[in-house]
Amino acid sequence: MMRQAKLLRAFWLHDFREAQSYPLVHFNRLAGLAMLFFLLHGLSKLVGDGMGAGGLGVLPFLACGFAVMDLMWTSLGAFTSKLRRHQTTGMLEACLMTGHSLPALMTAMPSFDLSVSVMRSTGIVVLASLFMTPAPNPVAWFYAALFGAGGMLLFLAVGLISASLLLRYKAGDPLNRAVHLSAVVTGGVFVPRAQLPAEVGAIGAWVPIAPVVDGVRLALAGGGWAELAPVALRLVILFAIASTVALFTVRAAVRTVLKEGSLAHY
Amino acid sequence: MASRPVLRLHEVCKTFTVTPRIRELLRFRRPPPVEVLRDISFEINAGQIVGLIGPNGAGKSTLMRCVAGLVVPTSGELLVDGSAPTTGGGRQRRRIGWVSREDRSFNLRLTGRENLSFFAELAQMDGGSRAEAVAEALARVGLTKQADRPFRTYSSGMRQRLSMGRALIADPALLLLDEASTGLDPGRRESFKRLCLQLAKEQGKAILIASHDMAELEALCDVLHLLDGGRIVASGGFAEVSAAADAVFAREQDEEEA
Repeated sequence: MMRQAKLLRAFWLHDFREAQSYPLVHFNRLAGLAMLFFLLHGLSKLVGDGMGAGGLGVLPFLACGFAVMDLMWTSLGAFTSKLRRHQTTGMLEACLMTGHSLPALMTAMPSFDLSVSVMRSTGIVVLASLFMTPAPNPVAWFYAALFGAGGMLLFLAVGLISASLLLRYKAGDPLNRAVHLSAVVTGGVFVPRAQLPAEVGAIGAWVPIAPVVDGVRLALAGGGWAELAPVALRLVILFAIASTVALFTVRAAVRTVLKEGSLAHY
Repeated sequence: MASRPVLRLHEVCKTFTVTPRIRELLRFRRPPPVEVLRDISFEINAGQIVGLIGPNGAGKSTLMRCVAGLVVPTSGELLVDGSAPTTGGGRQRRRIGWVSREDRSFNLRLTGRENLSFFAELAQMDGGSRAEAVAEALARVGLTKQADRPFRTYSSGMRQRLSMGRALIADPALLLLDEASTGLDPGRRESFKRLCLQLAKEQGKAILIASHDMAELEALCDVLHLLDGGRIVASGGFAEVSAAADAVFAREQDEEEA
């Protein structure tokens, strides 16, 4: 555990230093956040209140969807993008020579990107909370954070599956694309699932983003544990499935690339 | 210095399977596997420098990657300091320093020192000892003055030297140098040779060098192995191997021109 923590820290510092070397990086990030929020605000005015946003208001509804989507986008893509970059530059081989296993390196590589995404998502939700009436209480924030953290674990498990497919088949990240598409179309990120056709809504409840976005919105809207428990159960089930599959696919992929000698190829 | 085998290879073979194309899959055919290494056996003792020579595609880099634990041999025994390099999820790789021709394996935006510090941290070195090890590695490869310049401003020779510095950080027992002197100017090549000899003869490091530069191999190596078609076809001192190597390279040249 200590070893993995040190590895996470090393990659975090490495990428942080790289980010710091670009003079306007923090300004760009803040500007991006402000622009997104401005866009969401405009959209919410355009849509008005007829959307059925689950007691949250349209702006917080959309902002929560965007925040969770951002978290998912980064978590899913973090492993594959870093892995691909380090494979093609030879950095992966150089890192392996320090005595770490490939799965350990894979999981540590995106630590900085993930931390930035967590901050950005939190920023979006905090800004959105200013438009909520009544404002969320500390318990609501706590539950929302729990769902956010659980969701991130689920997304990371799916990201690991995607990365192991990339290792094995060198074929981009079709799984990530499928997860994103399903999230946008059926997951209730931008449109409440209740407004989708019943069959689509039923399928959408089981795409990875759905329990996370549902949980965060419900918690911030003041939902109690009785309402949150079924959503949490869905999240736990999806996580159990994804993490088990990730364990097998990562092991199989590592075994195969070491046998085939294609570790550093993309 | 007492000799002990740091690297031991016994009948190491490596065969790669070839991914079938769609046309072959439709005909239920699989392309035959490619045998890249066959029955490779040799040892390197502490303090010994061994050279690998052979034409392109002879299997030198695959052999290096097998020794580094980045590719698993199909059969045979390969031990570094008594254990397979993939032992313990790859922890044994820490005993190996690897210098390849790849100079993109550093971060262009970071300085030479920051780059080495990152790898030292991955090698589980903490604060003070990390800074010390990095400074020592930089001094060894003559980059102390340029240590705080961004890596992107380094010449190809300086990048190669930084790669050598990285390989030395964790004090490995075995150094693998794959075309490591490529890009160095004549003066730096001499320093590189001196450094290799110092590492082997004074610090007892075992060194395996793959190179096309016969003069460099003659100056450095105690033993040479000539690889051709995945097999060792000649072994021994420079005088014994050079004639066979000339014949292999001449044949390759003829085949290319034909």
